[in-house]
Amino acid sequence: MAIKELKVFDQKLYKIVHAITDTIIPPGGAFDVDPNVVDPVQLFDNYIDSMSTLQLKAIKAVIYTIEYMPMATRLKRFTSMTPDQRLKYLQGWENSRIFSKRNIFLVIKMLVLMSFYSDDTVADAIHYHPECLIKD
Amino acid sequence: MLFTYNDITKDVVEKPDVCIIGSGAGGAVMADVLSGAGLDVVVLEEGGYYTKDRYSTYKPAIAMKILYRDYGATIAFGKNPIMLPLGRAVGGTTVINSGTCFRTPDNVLSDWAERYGVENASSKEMEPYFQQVEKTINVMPVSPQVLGKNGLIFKRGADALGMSNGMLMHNMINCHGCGRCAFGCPHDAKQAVHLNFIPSAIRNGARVYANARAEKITVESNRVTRIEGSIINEQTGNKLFKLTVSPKLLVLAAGSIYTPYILEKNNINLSPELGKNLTIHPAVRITAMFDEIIQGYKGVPQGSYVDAYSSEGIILEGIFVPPEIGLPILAPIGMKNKEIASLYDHLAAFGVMVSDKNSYGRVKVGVDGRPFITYHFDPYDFKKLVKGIAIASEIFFAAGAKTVNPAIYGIKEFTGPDDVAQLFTKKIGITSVEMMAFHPLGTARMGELKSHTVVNSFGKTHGLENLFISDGSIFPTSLGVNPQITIMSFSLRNAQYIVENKEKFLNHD
Repeated sequence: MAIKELKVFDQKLYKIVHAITDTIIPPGGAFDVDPNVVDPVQLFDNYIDSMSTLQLKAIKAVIYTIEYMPMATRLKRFTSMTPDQRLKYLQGWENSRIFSKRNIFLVIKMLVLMSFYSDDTVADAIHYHPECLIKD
Repeated sequence: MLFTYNDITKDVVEKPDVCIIGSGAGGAVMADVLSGAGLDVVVLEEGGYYTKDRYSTYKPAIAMKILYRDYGATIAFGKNPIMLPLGRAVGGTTVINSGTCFRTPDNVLSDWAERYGVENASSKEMEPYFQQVEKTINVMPVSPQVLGKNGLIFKRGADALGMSNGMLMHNMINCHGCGRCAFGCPHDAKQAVHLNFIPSAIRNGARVYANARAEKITVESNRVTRIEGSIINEQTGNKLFKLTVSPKLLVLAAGSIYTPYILEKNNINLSPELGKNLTIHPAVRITAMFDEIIQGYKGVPQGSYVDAYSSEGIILEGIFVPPEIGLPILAPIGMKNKEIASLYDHLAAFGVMVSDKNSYGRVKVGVDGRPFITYHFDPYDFKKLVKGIAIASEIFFAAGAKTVNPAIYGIKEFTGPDDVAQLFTKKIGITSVEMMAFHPLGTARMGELKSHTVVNSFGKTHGLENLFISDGSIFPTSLGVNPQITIMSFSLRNAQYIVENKEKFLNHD
């Protein structure tokens, strides 16, 4: 897929973030959206565009850590793993006994999912149609 | 007049009687009363000016990006970092709060008088201020027509268990039950202060500057003489123009985080207590899955409450957020996330909030120059939170829940009321619970006991002759209830005190 209108991530980061978003919200399952219509990386990128330089540096640092940390134990980067390995690896972050590791991952997960579920196509797919109880 | 960065074409220089930093619950009321008394008032607000036309175009996640500080992710660090969402807009946090209104509990007012020497603030003395504020922002109970099924279900459970509960009071006119209180009310039904006190102040002649960041405060001969800052481009965050205000009196109303921060940053050390004694009302959200369709995002998210345990400092209040805000926290990654997303219509949620009895925090200037917040969550208060989680879980099961997610790391979702006992038999660490907090208070507490307080009973700082503080930071202890009525009522009272003594505070020769 062509990289479009990214404000924060460069091509290298795009690939890593794509692997992360694909693991957090994998294709298939209870609902699906066309990846040509909804690109979670672009949604994530556009959502964080007005963060401070310091905040963006921290987010990028976490993304690189996710990518390179497995080199120490598995001699593989995150992007080189199979989808199953990626899921297990990120579940390791999500359920880590180390509180700070769990929370650092939570930040990435929150930003990815907040931007993803804000998309109209995704809202349609989960039948989320907010409306007021009393109509005008 | 109200100015945003779009209206300003050159450096701003003002010489008003009074400058107020912050336009939230404290600053807006001050601005209205002081301008109404004929004083020349300038209000500086770092956030932008937003109206219902803009809110209605924002999805919740976008509203968090625009109307909240730091995307709603201001954090109090400690053993367990706690998210502390703060508003940043004309109207402050009242623009994005739940709209819940409680008067200051009588026992809290008595405690302040006894322990800190707070004068003229008994329930009886505060009564006219409560009444006037409630009238101005139209406080009324949430009607069952707009409560929504999330609130009704919890009420059903509480009733089944015989627990005291009811509809919460809100500041609202003609609420449509859109479920968006925390993201800017699209109908202006929620009566945030930018809809009443601020317009009234502007009619009185006050000048409100949005996108105006106060940075430097100059003190000479024990008086504040000048505030310098910048007009900020709302889109880029870039500084556009310089701002210089030379008032006769300064009122700081930037909230319990930014009021002590700006003072410390400017080396205005009013008291060793400044920045200390932060209370936040730690809270947690419990979710439950039902067979029936709930669509909790329709209706007032915080419309009802259970007060059966309020004497113990535990209060349960409605809370429901749309999927883009809820799913990142409550659903794990992978297929399970999509599964829960597709069942979102069947979810119910309620909040547990505890008063900070022994817990405390602190605000300092961090190494990056931004506020650094720490919070020590005391085990005694944590036990109350766990008890609150147990109560909420039991209520959900009594209401017919299939499963309850207690939001505790290491504890699987409950499948029946018997599972709730785990909360008391298993060891649950403070770091296991996913917490939030919404009511920072207490970092510049008031009272006549100078060694323990930063301002006097009317918000005047002990150290400087012409500096007042008028926000939640002046409250000596945790309230145990949502604070907006308390903040507005004390601001009203303290503003009248300034008016009555204006010769003393404004004239300096």
